[in-house]
Amino acid sequence: MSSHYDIRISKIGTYIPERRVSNVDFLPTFGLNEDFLRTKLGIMTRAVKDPEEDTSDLCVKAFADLCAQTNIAPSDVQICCVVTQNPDVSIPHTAAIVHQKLGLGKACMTFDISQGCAGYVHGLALLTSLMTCLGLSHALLFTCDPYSKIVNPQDKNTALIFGDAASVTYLTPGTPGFVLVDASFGTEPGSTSCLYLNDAQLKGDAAPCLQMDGTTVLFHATRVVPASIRALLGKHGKSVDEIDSFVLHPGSKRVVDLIKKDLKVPGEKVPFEIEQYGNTVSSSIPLMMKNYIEGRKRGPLVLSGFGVGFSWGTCLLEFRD
Amino acid sequence: MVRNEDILSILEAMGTNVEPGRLKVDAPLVSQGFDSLDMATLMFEIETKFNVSMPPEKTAKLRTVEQITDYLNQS
Repeated sequence: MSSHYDIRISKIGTYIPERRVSNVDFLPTFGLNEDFLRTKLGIMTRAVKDPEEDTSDLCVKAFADLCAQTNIAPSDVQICCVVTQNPDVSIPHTAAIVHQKLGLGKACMTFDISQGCAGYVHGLALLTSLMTCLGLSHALLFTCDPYSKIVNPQDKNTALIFGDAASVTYLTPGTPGFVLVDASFGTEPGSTSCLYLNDAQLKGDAAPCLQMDGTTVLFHATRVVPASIRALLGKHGKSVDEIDSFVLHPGSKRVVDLIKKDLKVPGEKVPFEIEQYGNTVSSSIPLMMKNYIEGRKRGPLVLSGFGVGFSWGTCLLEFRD
Repeated sequence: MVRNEDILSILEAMGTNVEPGRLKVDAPLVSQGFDSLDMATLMFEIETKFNVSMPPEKTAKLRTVEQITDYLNQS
């Protein structure tokens, strides 16, 4: 990508359900201790949505937070995109449901992106490219993947990790904000089984069942993420030291610590903020990004998401007035 | 030539709750207080130290320090 891209990440609205479930209460069940939560998982409580709330409802609440920060006329929105693998229903796409609930206009493209923890970077690249190609000026990129719908609370591999949340990023040209300079993506061949949903059990009375091979996820993440970051920075003649922050998907504290160690970057450059709400899948990066926008930070940022697929997306952002 | 002591020193540096001096090199690490995240981290540290690849499909069956040492010396 070249520097003519002028689409800015203007504002980010977020919604994290107030309800919290303590991981500490589950430790005896799983034969674990608090040290495991603090040093390896890094998650003490998880945000869990109301059972009556659906994916689109969380998106609508994130939009309300966005509207509290900036004026957006519903009729101006030209793209409404939802990154999710837990839609309200299979048909129609959740973006259409969000479009209806928000009262967006007729001239608005709606579509979902089926991606997991790398979904935000995928969404940024797709929407930025679409907007530039078609000359569009107002887009909403939602992320919402409430895994409480599909995690078996008795499954030691997944029960303590995921939290529910939603975000919406307002993309528009001209206003001060972060610009996508470049991005790279990948999918590890033959690795789909490291994270998948066993639909067969969902059709019966059995509990929903996300399946995760955490060892394989950690293996791929600690190899491909540092390599993709170095390659992207190298392509732009930048070193790790020139980056203000690395906003990495916080799959767990351990995986972030290992990537950080491999990159040889100080801890303060790699935020980890999920102790109180958990791994929120595609919302994890925008939840942290919001702090950079509200804090008016201007240093170059690297975002990197990784997970389901096993796939990943890494991008370089720069601030422009 | 990789020795059992090399693996034990990595385990010690990882800062786990298990005393390396009390580890049995011929007993499964998971039965001595290590979990799957520890095992994945150990493989990551071994890769870094010995510049070898330790993919899960090849290392999932390595359960003891001795087995890891043998694997490294054969690869």
